[in-house]
Amino acid sequence: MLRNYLAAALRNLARNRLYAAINIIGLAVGFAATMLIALFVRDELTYDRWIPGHESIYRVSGYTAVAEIKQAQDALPREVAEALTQETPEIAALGQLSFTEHYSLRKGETEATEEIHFANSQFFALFPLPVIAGNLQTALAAPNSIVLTRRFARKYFGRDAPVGETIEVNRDVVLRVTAVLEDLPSNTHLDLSIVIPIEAMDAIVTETYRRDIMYAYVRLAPDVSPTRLLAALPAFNERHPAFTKARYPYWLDTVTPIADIHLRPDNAGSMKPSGSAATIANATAIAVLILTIASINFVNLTTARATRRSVEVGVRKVSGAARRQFIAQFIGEAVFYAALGMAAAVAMTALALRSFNGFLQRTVTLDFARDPILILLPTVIVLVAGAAAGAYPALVLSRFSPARVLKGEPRTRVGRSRGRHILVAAQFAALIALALVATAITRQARHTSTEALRLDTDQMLIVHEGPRGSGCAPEFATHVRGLAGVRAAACIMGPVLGGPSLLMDVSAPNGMSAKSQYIVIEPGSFELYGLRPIAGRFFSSVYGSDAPPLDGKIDLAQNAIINAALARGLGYANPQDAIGETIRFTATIARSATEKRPNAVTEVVGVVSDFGASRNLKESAPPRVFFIEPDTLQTSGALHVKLTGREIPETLAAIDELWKKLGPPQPIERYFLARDIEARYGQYARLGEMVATFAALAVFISCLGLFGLAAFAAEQRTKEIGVRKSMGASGADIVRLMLWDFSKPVLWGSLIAWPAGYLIMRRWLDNFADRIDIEFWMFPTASALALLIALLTVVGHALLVARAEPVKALRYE
Amino acid sequence: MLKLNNIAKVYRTTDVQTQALDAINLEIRPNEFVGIMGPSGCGKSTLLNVLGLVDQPTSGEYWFYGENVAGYSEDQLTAVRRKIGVGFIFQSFNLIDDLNVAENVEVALIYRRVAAGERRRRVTKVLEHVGLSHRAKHMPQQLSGGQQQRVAVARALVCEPKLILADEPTGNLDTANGEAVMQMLEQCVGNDTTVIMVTHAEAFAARAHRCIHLLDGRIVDPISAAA
Repeated sequence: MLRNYLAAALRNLARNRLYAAINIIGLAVGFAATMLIALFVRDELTYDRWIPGHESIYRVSGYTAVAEIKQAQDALPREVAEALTQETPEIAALGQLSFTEHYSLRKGETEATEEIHFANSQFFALFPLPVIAGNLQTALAAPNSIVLTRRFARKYFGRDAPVGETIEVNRDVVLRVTAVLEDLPSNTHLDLSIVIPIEAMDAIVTETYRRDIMYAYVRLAPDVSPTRLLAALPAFNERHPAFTKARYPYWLDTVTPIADIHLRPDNAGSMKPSGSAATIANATAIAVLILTIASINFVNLTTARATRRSVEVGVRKVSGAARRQFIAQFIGEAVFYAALGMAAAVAMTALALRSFNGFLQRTVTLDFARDPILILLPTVIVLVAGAAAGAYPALVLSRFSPARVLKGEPRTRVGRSRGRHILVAAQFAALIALALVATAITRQARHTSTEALRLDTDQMLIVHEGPRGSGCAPEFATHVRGLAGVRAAACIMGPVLGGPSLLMDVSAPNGMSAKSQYIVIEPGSFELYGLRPIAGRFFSSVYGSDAPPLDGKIDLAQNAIINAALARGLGYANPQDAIGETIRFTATIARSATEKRPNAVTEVVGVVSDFGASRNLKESAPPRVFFIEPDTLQTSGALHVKLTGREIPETLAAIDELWKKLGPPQPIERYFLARDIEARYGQYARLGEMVATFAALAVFISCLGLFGLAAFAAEQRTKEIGVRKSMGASGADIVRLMLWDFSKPVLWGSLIAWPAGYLIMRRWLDNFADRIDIEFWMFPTASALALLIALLTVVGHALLVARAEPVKALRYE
Repeated sequence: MLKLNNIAKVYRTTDVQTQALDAINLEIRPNEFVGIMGPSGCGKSTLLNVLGLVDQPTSGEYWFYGENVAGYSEDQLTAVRRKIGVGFIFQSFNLIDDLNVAENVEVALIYRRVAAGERRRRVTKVLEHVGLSHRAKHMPQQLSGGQQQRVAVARALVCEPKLILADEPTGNLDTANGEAVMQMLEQCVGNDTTVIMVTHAEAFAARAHRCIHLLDGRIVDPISAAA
């Protein structure tokens, strides 16, 4: 019996090659897109879960506060973590890891500035990362050790296991390779590639701040719940006023399982940009939408074609086939089709994975042997999609009266089912909603990295703000300014784009106070970025009072510029009101500023817009105050260089040459600001592109389905068209009739898509403090595009039918 | 063997009611060859479908080989058809396009749980009988109308049915092919097999043992009906 069914199914497939191809390709593309998204979602959800023993590893963190304003910080003073470990029996081990530092590595001719982390000797006991050479457990025991990943072992030594070889840091500290790690996969919050023992820090890191603040990971003793540790933190804070009242005051209040770190919101000092539940939810929704669109196609085409097989059903019925046999036959066939689609989808996914990984900067793999879910999920999808597509013909066709079918009575009742039109409408609703969401995400991503910054970041090069030497050293800076390819340059210390920074508390004569970031600039810095004062003026060398005299005297009056957020924070509704006001710094952790000017007073001479953004995009730009402080700039500032855009390679080479001649003895660190923008906001742009790509795929799948349905409708309605034509309908009338029929589902779909799309867009945009407006034109545009594409897809068939001779059409049935 | 008592069949749509069969009383004995005639729309095919258990009467009793099947569910009717063996032949042949000749014939055996080897043997035999064994692997589209109808006859015969129902089996055929099909049907009669044939052709109807005339859903020739 199976052979008979299989013969019928395969020959049906071969005879209807076009439909089979449309059906299987549509399904395969849909499945492949769904699989890629599922792999991405799985990657997001499995952060750090692959690390052996991750269940008992937690990151301990807390917050600093200035004037009772909390700021969560992922990293904390080392002494706090060490005291906690000593005093808390629940903690079995403490692993410490520094911020990402940039230092030069040199081996022979190969030298470059790299991202380096410092860790204590216990770190790898908590994080037993995959190692390809050496013993990780003892790798950080000696102070002159260094652990590299495979990539960097190859870069500096040309091989995978250079254990025992030496390498120089900063051209003076010699370290010996003790272990080589496998390159870390993308699904970890750790951004590690080069690790050096904490004990080597004194010789390498000059800034004490950078030596003192680290991430703290703890392994809890067996059977200890993290809530017990969490409950012990308030008492710990109480016991240690030295920590909470220090210059960098720190309160512990958070215990995070490492597997949860990725999906927590970004705090100050996160190692990698965090993921978000919203992104995962959106990606999942898109996967479900695409799967739905592909399945609707499949169901529609399968049911449409199935009606052509009513004779087979009739004959089998009079031959004694029972209903359940039909159900098994049709569902079996649909599952067979779905399985073919899935096989093609797996091949497509494997082919697309490389570009997908490159695009999203992931290391997602399709490893069936390791991941039973990769077999289980597609199997379930094939069975469900197959059952859904097969169930309808199975149930409907098996109810056909064989007497009527075999007498050749019209079977159009099923062929023109309303159900199919509803499904097509649902498909277009999903499609239009997807297009709307893609529009919102792409526009917001562009907005976030351009207008929302309110900065002209084009051709902006940042030169060295490393702790060992600044691009603002006067001789170097002067020569750079003189280069032909340089339009202008300015020294700035502090995050232009926004991000963690030195903080101070600012109070106004009206009694209001606000916590503010503290950024040191020089005259011309704002102009360099194309900013204009929204009140007052910017710094200028013609005003002597803008800058303090260079004699280092304390408590000198100095002018300040504040941003609009600080003006609001200090209670000035109109920025103009802040001009001429005298503000005071009452407390601060900005070391250079307080050391020089405790309780300094200064006059606000200008207000600048809230350029840049908070790293956590849910918050708007933080309050900021800007000063001129030439000596600070010379040691710690970065030179921001605006290039003319002509002869860029030559200009860069000239800057490098100047650095070699005039800078400190280490490689120059320079990058275009665009790199920073990409690192911060690239994920949003990529998400936008991803959604747009998947929306395009959804369009493709829907068009395939529509094409198939149009062909089917053209065939089905041949007789009707013949009658209409014999009654005087023109070809144009027929085309109009067919096109209108296919326009209806798009219009109905819009009715659902507009409100649904609006809600999803709103939810997405709520993630951004500075967001685009949802504009009305987006909705009709999306629908009009969908309609246009739908009509272009079916117009060929409509023309074909309209051109048929009525006699032939009437003879058809 | 087949006994219809006061059988009626009404088709209802939302606002139209059609009386397809009305007060049909009829008895058909084993080994009989019965013709059914009448103008288009008189209920011939409906009667044939009721007789063959593919349609249910709206009211009345239908004794089918000793069992009153009126009111049976579709599944019950299917079971009875399988048990007794009912072969169908249609005017439009109704071969499955996606199956070849042998597979089309085999369909009639599949649902009767006949073992594969036995199926092959019987298909070969019946195709020889209708003179188409050389066409066993051909697809229906590759055959002439006459050949297609012979395949349909083979399909009806292969399950060795007690009852063969033919709905205008010669309607789409030329004279020569029609004659060939008629001869095959005549050969079937006897050996416990009954043939009931709906036809428009007087000449073919005359070859039946008796002929029933229908008009507007009623049997109008009491002499034939009573015979």
